[in-house]
Amino acid sequence: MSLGYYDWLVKVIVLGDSGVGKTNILTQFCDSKFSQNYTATIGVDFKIKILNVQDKKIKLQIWDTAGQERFRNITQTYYKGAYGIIFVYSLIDRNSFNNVEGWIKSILESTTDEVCSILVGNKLDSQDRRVQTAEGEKLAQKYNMPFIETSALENKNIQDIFDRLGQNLKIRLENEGQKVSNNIHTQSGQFKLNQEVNQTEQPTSSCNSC
Amino acid sequence: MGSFSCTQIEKSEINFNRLTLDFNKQEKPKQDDRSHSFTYQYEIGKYLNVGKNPKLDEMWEEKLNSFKVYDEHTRTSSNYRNSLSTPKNIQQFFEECPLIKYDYEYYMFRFFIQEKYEFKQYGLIGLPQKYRWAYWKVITLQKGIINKKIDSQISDASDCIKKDINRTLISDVFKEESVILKLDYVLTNLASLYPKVGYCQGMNYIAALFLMVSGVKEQETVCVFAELLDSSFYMFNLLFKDDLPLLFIMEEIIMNLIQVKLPKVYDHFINYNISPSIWISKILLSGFVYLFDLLDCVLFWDYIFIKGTVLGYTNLIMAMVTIHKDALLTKDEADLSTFFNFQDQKIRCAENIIKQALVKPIEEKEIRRIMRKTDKKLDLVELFKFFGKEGFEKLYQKFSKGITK
Repeated sequence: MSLGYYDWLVKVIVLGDSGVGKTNILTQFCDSKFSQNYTATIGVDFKIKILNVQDKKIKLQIWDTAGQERFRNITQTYYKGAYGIIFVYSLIDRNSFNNVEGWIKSILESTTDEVCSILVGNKLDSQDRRVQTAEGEKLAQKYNMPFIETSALENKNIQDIFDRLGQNLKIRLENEGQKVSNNIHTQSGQFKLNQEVNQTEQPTSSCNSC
Repeated sequence: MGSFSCTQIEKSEINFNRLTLDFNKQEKPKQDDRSHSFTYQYEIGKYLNVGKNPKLDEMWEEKLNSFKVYDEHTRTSSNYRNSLSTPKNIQQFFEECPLIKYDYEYYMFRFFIQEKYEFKQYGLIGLPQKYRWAYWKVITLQKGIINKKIDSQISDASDCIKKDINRTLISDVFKEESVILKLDYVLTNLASLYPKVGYCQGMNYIAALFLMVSGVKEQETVCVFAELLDSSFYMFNLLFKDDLPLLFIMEEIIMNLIQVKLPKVYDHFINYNISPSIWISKILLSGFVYLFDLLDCVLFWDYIFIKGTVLGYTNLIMAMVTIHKDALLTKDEADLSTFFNFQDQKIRCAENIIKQALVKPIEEKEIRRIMRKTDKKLDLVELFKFFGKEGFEKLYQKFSKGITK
């Protein structure tokens, strides 16, 4: 499954309590579909998507994680090398919102790397809201990350999650180009450049970002 | 019910041929039955199209009949039990062991007790669907957990179960409220019986599969699952308890085996920075159900019941990687991570995988060797250094202290 040329390969992790809609957000974004017959994620799942941000192509390697506390040992092994984090809670599940800070702390404890994060309140379509928009905004502000409310069911603001994350990733990747080059050969480095060497479709133009 | 000895003695030589199943020949339920939802639910185990072979039916019927105690004419056509001039001990057996309800189950139980090795060989040749659940019950039956009081109780796991109960759609029957309630019953009772295990995602898939095969017999499903949680042969309590220690040991074992036996495949995964653990964890924790066709899972479980969790899972996973090694080498990162999602791809492959597993089973000493060499700080390394040896059972009891019954 070669997705062609890209400028950067970035690992993104999606975190949040069980049942908040992480998998449906990803399925909507990557495959443009929503499954009513959804199933709980066991361990981790993995998807690839190329994101166009202005003149750049960012290849997102997105890791969808199980939300149950018991899987924390498994999901934490995937934190390493992540450059983007999407924290998800459900607008109709107060506990999932209360637990967001726990997820943020688990990232802070597990990695010293700087990451681009975004906070997502999902299930905007539901009438039974338990978390107000202002609360989400306040929490996002506290941790200096963008905030967005979405509905995976109605495909509302799903693309926006990744567009906003992509913007921040691009800015950081460009600013930290030198730092990236220095780290590029380390095992499970934060992210890699010009991975196309292993791909079949070698780009005709070279990466002009670094 | 007393404690039955269930030592899982393995003989190295396998001298049998697995019978080929025909998936087109299938016992069909009557139209009226299927149109009536409730009846359909209760008969679903009987009508699962896991494949059929008349020779298999014949072989099993002949064998089970050989365990009939008396040859009197049956007094009713409904079951043999009335025909027995019942010795008190047999009557008592049925009274004390409600898990064994029918005479053919009793004969199967006698078969297991008297000829354990042959019992397993018969299972590996194949199981007729009508006897499958009885076989699973009998092979796991050790402590008679059925005698424990089983009531739906509220536990800490209830919230987690509630979240998953409506998203265990391994079959359309799990859209029906009455079936969902039975799945809830199974998971809630297991969480009550084993509070230190509680509920772990993945258990819902296995419980749902067992419910299907049993014909939605929720109490019996609790019993069989509970034996898996209890037994040192299956060790499910160590698979599902906090920190999932058996999962990490199994991943270590399988990764090592892939590295040694299939180095090209191993290197290919490493090159793409994708670990096979991404699907090993799904297979182990969901009992294959997350990735494989439901009917394939039934066949895999026949094998796991006979071989136990560690060797059963390991053999099957190694077999499936071996069979698909050439294809795996052509895949990139995204395809590698989803390669074994055969359920979505509507691929059925259980027979081939089981046949391969039977040809090249992993030996217990290989597992001990891996444990001696590993530098990973895993909870169960010390236990698995004794895998298959004297002392393992005692150590297992130590590691499971406070979890098992």
